[in-house]
Amino acid sequence: MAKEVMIQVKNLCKSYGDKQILKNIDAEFHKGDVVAIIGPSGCGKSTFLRQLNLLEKPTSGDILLDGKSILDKKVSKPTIRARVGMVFQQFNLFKNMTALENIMFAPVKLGMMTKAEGEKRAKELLERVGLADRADHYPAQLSGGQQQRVAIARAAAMNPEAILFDEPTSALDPEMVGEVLKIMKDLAQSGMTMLVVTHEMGFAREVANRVLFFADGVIKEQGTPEEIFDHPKDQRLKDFLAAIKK
Amino acid sequence: MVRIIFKMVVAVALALSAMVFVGCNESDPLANKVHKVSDLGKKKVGVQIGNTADIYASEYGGDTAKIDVERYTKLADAVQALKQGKIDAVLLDDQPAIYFVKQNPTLRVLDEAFVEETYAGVIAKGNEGLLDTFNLVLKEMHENGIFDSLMNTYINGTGSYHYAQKVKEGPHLVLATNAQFPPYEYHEGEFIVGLEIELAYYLADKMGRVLEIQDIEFDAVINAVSSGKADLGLSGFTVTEERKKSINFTDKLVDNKVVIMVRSDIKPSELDNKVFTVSDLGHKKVGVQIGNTADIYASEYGGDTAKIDVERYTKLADAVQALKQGKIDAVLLDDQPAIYFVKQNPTLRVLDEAFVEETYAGVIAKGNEGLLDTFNLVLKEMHENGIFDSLMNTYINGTGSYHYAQKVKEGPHLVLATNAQFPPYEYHEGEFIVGLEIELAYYLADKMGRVLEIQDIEFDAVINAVSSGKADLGLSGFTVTEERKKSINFTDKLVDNRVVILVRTGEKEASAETFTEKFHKNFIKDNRWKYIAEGLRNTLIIAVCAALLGIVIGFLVAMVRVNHEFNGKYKIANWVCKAYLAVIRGTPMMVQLLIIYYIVFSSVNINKLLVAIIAFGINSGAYVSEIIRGGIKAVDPGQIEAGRSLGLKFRTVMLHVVYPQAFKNSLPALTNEFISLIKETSICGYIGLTDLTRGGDIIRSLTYEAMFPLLSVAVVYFIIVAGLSTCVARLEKRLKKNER
Repeated sequence: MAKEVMIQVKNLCKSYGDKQILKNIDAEFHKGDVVAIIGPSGCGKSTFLRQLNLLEKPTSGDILLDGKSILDKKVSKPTIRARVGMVFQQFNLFKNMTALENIMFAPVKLGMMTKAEGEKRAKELLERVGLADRADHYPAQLSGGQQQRVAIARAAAMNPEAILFDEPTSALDPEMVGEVLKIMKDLAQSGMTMLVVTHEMGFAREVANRVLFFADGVIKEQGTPEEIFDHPKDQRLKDFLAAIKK
Repeated sequence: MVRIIFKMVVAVALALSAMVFVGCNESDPLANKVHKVSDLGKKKVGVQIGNTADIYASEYGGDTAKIDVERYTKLADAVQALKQGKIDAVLLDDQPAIYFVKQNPTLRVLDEAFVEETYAGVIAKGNEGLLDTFNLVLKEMHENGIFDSLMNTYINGTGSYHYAQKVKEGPHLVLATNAQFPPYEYHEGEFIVGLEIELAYYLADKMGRVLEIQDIEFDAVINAVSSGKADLGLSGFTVTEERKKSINFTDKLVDNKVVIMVRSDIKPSELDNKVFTVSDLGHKKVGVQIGNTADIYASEYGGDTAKIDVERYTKLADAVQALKQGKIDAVLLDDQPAIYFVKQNPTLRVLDEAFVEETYAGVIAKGNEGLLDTFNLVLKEMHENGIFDSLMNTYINGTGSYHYAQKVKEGPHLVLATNAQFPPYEYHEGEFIVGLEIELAYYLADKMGRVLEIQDIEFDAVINAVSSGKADLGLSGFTVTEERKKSINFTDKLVDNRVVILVRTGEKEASAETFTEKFHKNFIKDNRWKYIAEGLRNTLIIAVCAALLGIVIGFLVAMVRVNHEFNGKYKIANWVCKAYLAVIRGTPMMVQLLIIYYIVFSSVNINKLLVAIIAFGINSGAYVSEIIRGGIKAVDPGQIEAGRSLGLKFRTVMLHVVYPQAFKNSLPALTNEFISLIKETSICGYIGLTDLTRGGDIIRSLTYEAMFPLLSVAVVYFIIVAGLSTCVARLEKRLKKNER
């Protein structure tokens, strides 16, 4: 693993009031990594992810992006967020904009592209997610799967260094899960750094190069998909995998 | 043949009113059939057993026109029978008759008396000692004025003197009476009171005895006295030769007339006039104009026992309308407007008896003594050069046609506050405000080299307008009162005034006007439709500008509050906004309008349209801000999260993502707010703006017609609101395209 370290998490803690959600997490993510984060619900997976692009602020600890702390007060939050994209469980497409507008809005608004460039890029991305013919549709006119594909395109449009996926298929009807996973797989193969909180073990095993198992606010076990799925050591992980198989 | 009477006995008939007009339907049991003494023959007539009326009635008419006499033990029973149409008249003594008529407005007393006679007390034969004492004491009471005082209290109703027994212990003086004979002796609460009762108290005191009253049937009183069961009988006894044989009469107490009580000629329905004299006003519904002195007098009238049920109207014309429709029984108002109203409404009349007499003057703010002196000087000049008399002839006496028109056309203004619903002092004629006080003000303005500007506002707002400096001068038929003098200066006297009582005549409306005539009267005549048109223009200007101002204020307030909620910023601004919302939403729009006009802008001469726009805009802003805030909070927080995850600034996300969605969410509620705003502008009349509602009101005050002006105003409001609703429905449809 000669890849350079891109995101480094040091001793990260997060509490809501008295309740400690994350306990002294240490982790490293490398450029081009596709990391699947699994674990029982309420174990802090999503909270962990949301700290990484500052949607939530850690209680203590540090997060380094390319060796620099993103918690430094001098660092602009919008800049960090622009570098680390996010895809939500509930898609969160802007309801008052068409699919095309959703994708091009941020890059154009932030001055990364002209309006014409933004539109061209948005059309390319829609093509890539197979929705070229839905450019002028509003979110309410798209299915859940289509909306999530647009949301992925929207995140990709910012040319981020990494994209965080927060249970991207959990809110979808079963027949739409496949189309979204396919897009994510394509994205992974193109070399995008991806951190994916998911319950799709097939995807984790096939696409991810590393799997983190979260339980009780700590990383209980991590390793390659084979290590995690075929030779689990931790008892909690064994129970979790057994429960999923049923 | 009991023709020997000290006094003559008069016949009176008390009439019960029927459902139909007098005697117009003989078959109607409630129609009155007795109009004069000679009508009594063959009629059923009630009398009280033992009363002299019984004797007279039995003798009346010889064999050809005998009265069918019905004898009752109690007078009240006879009156009841008369009211129910069981008998045609009741013969009774005049004082009780007056009392019964006051209690029963559907009865009346015929002017012609049946017999005239005299009352005296009765004392047993052989008891000449008591007889002499009685007559001596009676003489003493006449000399020391106590008898007259009692007469004033009980008979004339002009006094309140009462005599109470002073001797509390000792031998008794027994008085036999029948306490059903007001005002001589009757029950009031637990006590027996009356003229003869108090006279007996005085007698008992003089004799050092305690009066014991025995209340027995009238025909038993003489027996009680002659048999010695009672010492003295006082029960409104008429002196007759027949009775003299068995009993001694005291000296004369009072004169009496036997009168005829019949049903009155007016309908007892709600259209009936129930007020015939000032003393009838107690317990009646009486309309007054708010702020007029009649309001004060009416509220004070009658003490606790006969309070007037005062209904207060902003406009005199409304009170008159209510009177016509039978909602109230009388209107108290100044005599000149009353004359004018009666001229317009033949079904109304003014009672001869005035309620109060007073004086009119103009009002000028304290501290503005310069104008006060000028006014009084100019008024004096007008009296000297005859212009005042000429105006009086034109407007009050109706004998002249002189008018004074303003000559100065340009220059500084002299602002006159008035309520132009008060003919002939100030009222609308065609498009103009005219009247005695108006032309007087023109003359004054000319003398001062100023242009008269007339502000037509509600009557109860005129003094405020003057004292707050909004107007220089107030002329609106102001009565000089001590109370008002404390807050305002009065000019010299303008005219004398009487507060009079306006009632229905009981006649029906002469002839119903046709639809076309009414339409012509309300809209075409004198270009009256222009009031509606001008009102509509003002209503639209106020509503549109206030709505825009409301949106701006509402948006700013919503931004502050939402920013505070999301980011904790703008702490102080948020507090100010919350206070603004609490105050505006916690007080009535009308009060806010008045506060802004009379307090906030009290010393600034500002266009009233602008005042209304500011008041309504500030009010609407509070509601709009909460609607917008609700709309923003209804937007999914995921939308903001998504925007921020893309590196967009909070402001950018709000502006491009949240607000457009919030606007769509708020649109139905915003539409409702604008609809109520349009309708709420109808209170602009309170600061004297001719808005749509007031336009209709002015027509109403000119035509005394409620239907056309009110319905047309309602229709115009409806059209505006319906138009707005349609436009918004279209907009909503367009915004709906991003939904499935």
